[in-house]
Amino acid sequence: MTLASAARALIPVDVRAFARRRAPSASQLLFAFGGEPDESSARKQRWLCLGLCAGLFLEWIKQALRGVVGFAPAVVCVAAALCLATQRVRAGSALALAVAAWGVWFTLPLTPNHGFALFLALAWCCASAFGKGELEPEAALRWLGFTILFWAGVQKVLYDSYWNGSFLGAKLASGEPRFYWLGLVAGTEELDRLRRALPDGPFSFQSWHVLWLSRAIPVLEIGLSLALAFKTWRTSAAAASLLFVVLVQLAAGEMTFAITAGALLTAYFEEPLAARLVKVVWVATVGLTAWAFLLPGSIVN
Amino acid sequence: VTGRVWLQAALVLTTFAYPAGHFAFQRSVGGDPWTLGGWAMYTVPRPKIAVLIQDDQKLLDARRACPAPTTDYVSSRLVAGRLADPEPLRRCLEKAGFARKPLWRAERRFDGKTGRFVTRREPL
Repeated sequence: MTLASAARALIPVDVRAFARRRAPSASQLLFAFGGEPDESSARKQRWLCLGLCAGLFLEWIKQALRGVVGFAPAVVCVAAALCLATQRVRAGSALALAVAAWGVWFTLPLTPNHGFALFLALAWCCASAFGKGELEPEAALRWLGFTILFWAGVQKVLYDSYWNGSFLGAKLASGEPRFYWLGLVAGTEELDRLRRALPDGPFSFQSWHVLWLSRAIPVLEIGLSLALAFKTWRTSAAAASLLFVVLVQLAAGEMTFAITAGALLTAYFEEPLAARLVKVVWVATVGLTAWAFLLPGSIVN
Repeated sequence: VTGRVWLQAALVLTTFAYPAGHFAFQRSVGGDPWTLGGWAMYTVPRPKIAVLIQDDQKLLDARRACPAPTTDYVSSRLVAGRLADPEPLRRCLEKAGFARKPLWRAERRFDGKTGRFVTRREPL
């Protein structure tokens, strides 16, 4: 493999075209890691923004059911989705961004990460709808998907609580209902040992399979995000990332983040598959909404 | 090259560099990694913070005397760690009749390396 072909595999931009330009465009900078879409259509971009509206809608439904706000923001999310579905991209993305911005403002300083992710992603959708085609949301969403996955893994390594399993150990010992499944994996003996360490710890696993489950989380987050940077692995890495992120978020009870991550990672797929995935995301959102109405308080996040 | 391109480039670089700055900031001030974005939720369990009033041998929760200022202080302490300003809460507690009582901040934090919760009580 020559140096040029290695560079092409790693940085999927046309290097000669890149060199001919005076300076890289913002899109090219984005593509360096997130990956340049082979072809991008206005219709696919609409699908991607529509997927993000699902995460936003679920977030506001949860807040409304908790009695924090009324149903008006959720209704605006539906209006934004309808605008996007009927090709009124500017109106749809502006409405969605307005609701996302209000959500961030409303929850500051304790805004959850999916609030920031939705705000950033919809800001890019809106900038592209009102811009002159310099920045396509597809590239921006790919970049954001890569950034979130990569940094989520690195932060876990930096805080040093996954390699020794102490985070999952503490959560399991605390008896949080959403980590109930982990008790089934760990077994009764491990669970009893962890509970004896309450209230202060130390919380660490002795059984190797739970310890390696804990270690696999940051390793997969970093590994899959880096795999997204390689053109040849990108589609498989995107599919694996989608599966991994959705499973992890569902296991943690983070439904909104699961929906948001699903919508973000859709940007890595071809238009027909992306459209199907966005439909799945909306069906899941409607299902979760019905669940939240039928069993109030059952959806944690 | 238009200014707009560089603005977008700055946005891209910022979104990548921000989590590193978030880690450095939260580590240096002792904030909660779950706050302010930075993709650091689920890194450690969230810290628990309470403000206590020492009344003779009893410890009272400041939330009972000044609910809103206590919530504001605890929230800002979670976000900004030691940069959080306790003065508004202290003034409220003085008005509520606790002027000469010792005030304490109790914090329970998780140390990922040792896997232990550490509880500290310091004067507010």
